[in-house]
Formats: sequence, C-alpha cells, structure tokens
Amino acid sequence: MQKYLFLSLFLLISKISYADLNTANAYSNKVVAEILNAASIEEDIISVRKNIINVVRDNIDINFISQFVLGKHWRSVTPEQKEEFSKLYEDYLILTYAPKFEGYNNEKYEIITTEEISKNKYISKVDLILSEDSVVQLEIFFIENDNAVFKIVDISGEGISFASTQRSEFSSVISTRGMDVFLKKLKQKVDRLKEKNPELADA
Amino acid sequence: MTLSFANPIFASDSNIFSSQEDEIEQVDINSEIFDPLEKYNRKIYNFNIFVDKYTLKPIAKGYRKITNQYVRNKVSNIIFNINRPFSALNSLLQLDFKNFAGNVSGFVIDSTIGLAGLFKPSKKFGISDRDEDFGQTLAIYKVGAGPYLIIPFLGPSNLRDFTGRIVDSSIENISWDEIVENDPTEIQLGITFTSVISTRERLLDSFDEVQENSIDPYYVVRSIYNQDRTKKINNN
Repeated sequence: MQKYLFLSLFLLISKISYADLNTANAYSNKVVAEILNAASIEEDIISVRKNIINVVRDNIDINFISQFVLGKHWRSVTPEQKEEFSKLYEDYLILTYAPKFEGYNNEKYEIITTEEISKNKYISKVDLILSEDSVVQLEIFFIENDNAVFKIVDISGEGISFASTQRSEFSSVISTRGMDVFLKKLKQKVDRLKEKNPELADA
Repeated sequence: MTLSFANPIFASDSNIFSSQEDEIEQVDINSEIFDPLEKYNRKIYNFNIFVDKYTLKPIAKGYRKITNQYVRNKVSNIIFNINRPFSALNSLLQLDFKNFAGNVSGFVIDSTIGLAGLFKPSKKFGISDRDEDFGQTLAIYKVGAGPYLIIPFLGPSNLRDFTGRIVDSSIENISWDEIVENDPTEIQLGITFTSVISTRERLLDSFDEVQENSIDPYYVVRSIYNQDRTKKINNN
C-alpha cells in the first residue's frame, strides 16, 4: 500500500514538474513570437520600435538584472544610487537592445529545448533561422517570480551573454572610477540614446 | 537533452531571492579576467581602432556593398573548409576523436561534393566539426590563459591563445610548403586576407555598436573575447 502511495505521489510530482516545464516552454515560445511579430507589423519604423520596446519592457525582470549587472558592488552602493541606477539602466537596456530586434521580421524560429536549471530558473535554447546557411543560436534565461509570472533575465547569442558582458563592464568601471563617475557616464549614454531616438524617449 | 550550462547568471542552485546576493558575489570571484597590463593594452586597443578605421573597416564595408549575404556565406564556408585539417589536427591532440573524424570527413565531403567547400553537404549527415585551434588544445591540457593581451593589428587575445596562434601559423606554413610546389606565400596571404575581411564584415554592425553604446568598450571587448573563448574551449 505504501509503495503505491509513494508511486502515486511520485507520478503526481512528475506531472506537476512536467506541467511547469510545459508552461515555461510555452512562455519562451510566446515571447519570441511576440517580439518577431512586433518587428513584422507593417507600420512606420517608429511604431515598430515602440511595439518592440513594449514587449521587451513587459518581459524583462529589471530588478534582477540590475542587481546582477552591478555584481559585488550592489551591496556597497547607497539606496539612492541603487534607485538612480535602476531607472537609468532600464532606459539604457531598452533603448540599446530593443531596436536590435527590428531587423528580424518574418524570421522562422525553433525552440530546441527548455530546461529547468534549478527551482524557478529556466533556459530555453532557440534557433533563429535567418537563411539555410545562417542560424543564430540564442539562449533565453528566465525566472518564474513569486507571482508565477515569467520574466527574462538574460539572453545569450552564440554563447555571449548580454548580462555577463554588462556586469563585467560595469563592475570594472565602478572598481576603477567609482560609482558616481559610472552613474554620470551611464546618464550621458542614456541622454545620447534619447537624442538619437527622441520619439522613443518616453516609450 | 541536458543543455550545457555556462551562464554565471544561474551559477548556483540557491533561491534567487533569498540568497541572490551571495550567489552574485560567488560568481564575481570566479569570473574576473586577469588583466595586469590594462594600461598598455588600452593604448594598443586605441591604436588598433585607429588603424581599423582607415583600413579593414572601409574594405569590409566595400566587401559588403559589392556582395550579398548568399555570396558572403559561401566565402565563409570555403574558409571554414580550408581550416578544417588544422581543426582536425588539434582535435587529435585533444584526444577528441569524434571531432577529429568529423573534421576529416567533413573536409572530404565538402571539398568534393561540396565543391571545395562552397556548399556544406556534410551538414546533412550531422557531422560534428567544431573549429579547434592550438590555444584550445593548450587549455584542454590545463594551461592557464595568462594575462589578457591586445595584440597590435590582431586584437584581443591572452598569453596562451597568442602562443597557440603562433604554433597554428607555423603548422599552416609547413603544410602549405608541402602541398604547394612553388612558393605558397601568395596563396596563404590571399586566404588570410579573405578570412580577415570576411570576419570583419560580420562584425561591422556589432563592433560599431559596442564602440558607440558601451560605457567602456575596452571592457566589453575583453568580456566578449573571454566568453567566446570559454565557450569554444568547453565545446559549447
């Protein structure tokens, strides 16, 4: 009797885990489709960019990424610096990376696999098929937060992680020049990006 | 299928909220790049940017203008195929017999049916044919990377990989001398030049972007180089 109870419990847990993985896989499918659709809509380029920005903003966990990219400095910065950084960083991230997707329209893609790395942390491997000879391999890292909502925390393209790259850069700048100089430079970048794309400044 | 995992953002199994700070600190300890010559590397980096602006970049732009993606893909295929025997040799040195066999058979198939590498019929056979070099071979034998280096004209490297590059070049020179009856220098230079321009063209947009959008492009290039080499060494 105990054996059957254990087996039933095991099957129930397996089914739940499988359902979680299915849900996670469905999420990565949905978000890739949303971004490619946003890039494919036949409107003017500004509307396309705004659509992509909205999709990206809705799907990234800025708090997680902010903390990650500051690395070891997160503990030592003041709450005011954290707040200023988070606001600037969100704009920087969106204005720098969202326009990248506008060239990818009507591209085929394939979710190769989705795996749960540890509790609530997932990786999806995606092939973006640009042509017969050209496939871009992406890895989308996402988490399921306390509200059971999935959010992206990193994307790797051909093995290069954007979050790790930024963390290496930001950490090195802060270590050599201090947080205040880093925040000043980040603000300058954001202001320049907004000047370049004034229509997106409030997106 | 288990994904090979190399992303430090999920480096540990601890709960992402409760011990996120510990996780991040642990990751930082493991992933700092050894760059004691940063002051000198930066000077060479700026020198390379200057030279690139007036040489490789305009040539790469011209190459892009006079060709289309299809042609450029074919050129890349040919260059990849030419390098396969050297990848095979390094796979053998690494005792990676599967990749050795893949590179050898891929070379034979693509050189013949694939018309000197123009096409890649080997892909349909699911042949494993990763690009291997002597720097990766040294890494497999636990030779440390050593200090990060920016090589004049050649770009980012480290002591181990640059040593590997010298060994690879020597082997290539000897091989070409054996294959080609007359002086192969012109052929080698032609292949090297084409390979460099092909690579530079592929990096045109991303490199401009790094220069324009980064807080400090030197650190970004350093990080990307390190991640790329780690990926290749781990065969990801």
